[in-house]
Amino acid sequence: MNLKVVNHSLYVGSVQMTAVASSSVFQIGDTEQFALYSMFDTPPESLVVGPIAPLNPPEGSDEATGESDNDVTINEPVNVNL
Amino acid sequence: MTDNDFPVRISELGTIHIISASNASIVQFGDRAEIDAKVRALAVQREVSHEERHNVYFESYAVFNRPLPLWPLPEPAEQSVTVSTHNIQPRICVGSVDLIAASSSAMLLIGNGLKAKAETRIKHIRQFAASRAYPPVPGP
Repeated sequence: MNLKVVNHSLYVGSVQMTAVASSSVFQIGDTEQFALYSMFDTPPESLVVGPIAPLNPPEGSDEATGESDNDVTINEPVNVNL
Repeated sequence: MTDNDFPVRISELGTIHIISASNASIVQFGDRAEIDAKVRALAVQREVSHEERHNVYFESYAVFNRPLPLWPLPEPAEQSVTVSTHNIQPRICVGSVDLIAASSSAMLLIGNGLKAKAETRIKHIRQFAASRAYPPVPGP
């Protein structure tokens, strides 16, 4: 298979970024190949210790079908035994 | 095809402003062939001091030994797709780049590259002084 690429003009005014992290690439130019890997192993939400604000049910949850109300534990804060 | 066909494009950048480039990150102006960047990180947050609880070791955690899901990078000879690139304009122009932070084998390249491989493995650990309340072990 033949792939024909024609590069015409490329002009960019300005680029603003907060962060480039964990095997990410920001490049101005041409390239052949990229292989970027990133693995994270993180505790659940980095373990929040302290009072947890309860969340309201999502909007339109009354009309939601196919979800059982019985075993839903909305509004119950999670206790962590330390 | 037009008569204007440049073999490589030149990157032109007006201004760049970077505050931080850390943890095996690269900022490069110019062309390059191959790069292989790697970072292993154990991010430990502890309630007690590191002197008291001593070291942690990469060997203890499976994320550092897990094999990569390798896609074979095809050699040009066995490529089934033939790519022909034609550059009508000889340059890529960017006015300004503003970046706060580059970290963990991130790469900023102003120029052309050939092959790039980067790998980051990060394990986050939270350690507390008090032990977790385990259920009582049944006696004999």
